[in-house]
Amino acid sequence: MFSRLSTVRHTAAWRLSAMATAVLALGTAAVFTAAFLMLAANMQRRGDSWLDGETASLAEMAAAAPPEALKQEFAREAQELTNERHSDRSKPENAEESVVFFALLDRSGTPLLVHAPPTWREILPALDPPHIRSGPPRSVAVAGYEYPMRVASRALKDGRILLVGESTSGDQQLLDEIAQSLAWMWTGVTVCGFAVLWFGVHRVLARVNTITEVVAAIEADQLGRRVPTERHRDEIARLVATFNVMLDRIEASITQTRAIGDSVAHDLRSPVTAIRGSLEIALTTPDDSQVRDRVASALEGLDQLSALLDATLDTAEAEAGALRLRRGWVDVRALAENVVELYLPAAQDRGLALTLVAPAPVEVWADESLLRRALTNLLDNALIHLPPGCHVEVAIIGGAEHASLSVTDNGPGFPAEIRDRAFDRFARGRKSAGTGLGLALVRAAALVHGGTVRLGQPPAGGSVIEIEIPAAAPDPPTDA
Amino acid sequence: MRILLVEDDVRIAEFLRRGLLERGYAVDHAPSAEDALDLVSEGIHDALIVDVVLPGMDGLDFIEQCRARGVSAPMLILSARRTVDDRVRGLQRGGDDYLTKPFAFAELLARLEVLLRRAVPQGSKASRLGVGDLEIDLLRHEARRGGRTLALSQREFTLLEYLCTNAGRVVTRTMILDHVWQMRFEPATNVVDVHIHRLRDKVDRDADHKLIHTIRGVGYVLKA
Repeated sequence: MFSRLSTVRHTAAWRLSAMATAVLALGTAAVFTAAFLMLAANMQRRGDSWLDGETASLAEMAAAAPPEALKQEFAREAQELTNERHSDRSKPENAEESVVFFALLDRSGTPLLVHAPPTWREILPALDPPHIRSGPPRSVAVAGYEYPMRVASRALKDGRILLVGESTSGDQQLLDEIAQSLAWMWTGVTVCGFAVLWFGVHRVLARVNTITEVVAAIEADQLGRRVPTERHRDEIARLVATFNVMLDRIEASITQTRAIGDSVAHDLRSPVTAIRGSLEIALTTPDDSQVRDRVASALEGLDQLSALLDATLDTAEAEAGALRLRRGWVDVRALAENVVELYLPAAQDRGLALTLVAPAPVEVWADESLLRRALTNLLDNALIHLPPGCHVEVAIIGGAEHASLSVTDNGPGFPAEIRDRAFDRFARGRKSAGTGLGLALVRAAALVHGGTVRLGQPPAGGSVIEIEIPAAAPDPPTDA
Repeated sequence: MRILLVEDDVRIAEFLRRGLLERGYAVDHAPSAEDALDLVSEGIHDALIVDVVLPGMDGLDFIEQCRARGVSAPMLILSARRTVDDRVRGLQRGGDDYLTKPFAFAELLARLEVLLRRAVPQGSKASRLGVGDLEIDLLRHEARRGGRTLALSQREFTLLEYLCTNAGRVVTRTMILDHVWQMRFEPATNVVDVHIHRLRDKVDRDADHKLIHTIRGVGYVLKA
């Protein structure tokens, strides 16, 4: 139980509710206290003004009327007041206390005329003569009495002193009752407030907890889990939606990474095996020229390996959009002439005809190296896959907005099984000798330039791959 | 010629040191930029080979510091990073050439020689090159073997000129692509080999001994 409580105390729901409750409690306490104090002050003012009035009128009378008349007046006033109070609040057990007293003292403080209940006589010693000569009403505590009394005094012209006192027990009891109810109300508000806050905050945060649990439960091998979506359309629902989208992306990216990892592992294994084999033979063969031959072949294998690594990284970087383009004005025709010239002998060796159709210079704002790379990849592809006797045509066509670079051949076309995903990484026909990276880089190159790439099938057979890129940069060329 | 090799990888440092020693270079090895700064202040090195990733100060900072101290010896940067950006950054900060790992030792050697040659001021560039009975007239764009003019295309002439300039030294396919086609990557097909074979056909076909030799796994060399 204790440990459970201490775990609860570390939750945000607890902290939020406790904080809000504290604020609520302090606030209501302040309001209640202020109201109570105002009420108490008000009641005292009312009592005091009665005392003042009473003292004034009795003093006037005492100055003129004979003591007998004054005594009758005291009795009459006292009776009147007692009746009034009793009809107001019937509290017989305190009746005695809810009474006024009147006294006329001589200048030395000796009572001349007193009207009061018998017990009230004790009050006279409590009234220190020098302080009672004259003054506004004040509280005087009397031994044996729970509540103080308010006493007003007035010195007459002849030196006598008139005292009028009233017990505050009625008012004080009322105030006590009010204070008690206020305390109950305050406790109620605080407890209810905490309950409501805790319930509300807890319910909201329970939804956050669900997200935490699901996300915590997601391991690498069960990326398919998603946070349950809700009917709400509030902030937390948006958080859930965002989380799920993020999980989708992570799953896609991990799946892709795995696929790439598998392919790379597969692609690396063959050259590594070949290199290992070559070196093993070199180590065991006694024939010196054989050794050199095997080592050379191992070196070739290593070059292949490093080229594959480069291609993989380049493609991954290009696809992730991480390539920083080094743009400049590029004449695509000149670029194509250069590349075609490089490839022509190799194409001829393979029995392929390679031609360039580029009627005019075509300038684009692009990364020359990347474009060159794209075109060489397309031609590599053609050289690797086309049977002898085919014709490969590179065409460069400039337009007002786009420049198009296409490579068309009249070969057997793309195998049906990869036609839809020819530009994906490691998409390869069953009999392909390529890395499966060439076209992926072509697409990435087109996309980072804000262009497009498409694979088509001319009616006459074969295939055509066309890259279209914007002739000029859509944004100001800041990355040149 | 004395080379300062700044490389923390012991295996790479060792094979470079041995390779360079075999070629007659004196080699000082520093495993960190801090050590290298002490050595370089002696001012006795003709060239530096600097790895980018080093413990402590990195290679590019080191090069910058050297340049700030007035070291003028050519510097060849070695790096595993091969984007154009990295290369440009290396050159901008004071390097003279940039070679990415993995590299062929022959290529490192060739680039180093180019740097050393550049460092030693020479007279006007020769207008004629010759290797054995092969003569190249750079002004008239003419190549002759044994007095017979070779019918070379423009590109074949550039290729032959490049091989001739580096006569006796192995040049790799990457170097050829870089110098003759201004391409900094290797295509997936053997396009360079085919060009070399065609050139060899024209240069060596009617001759009794061959000038253009293939070094398997590395590249080509032209020698008498």
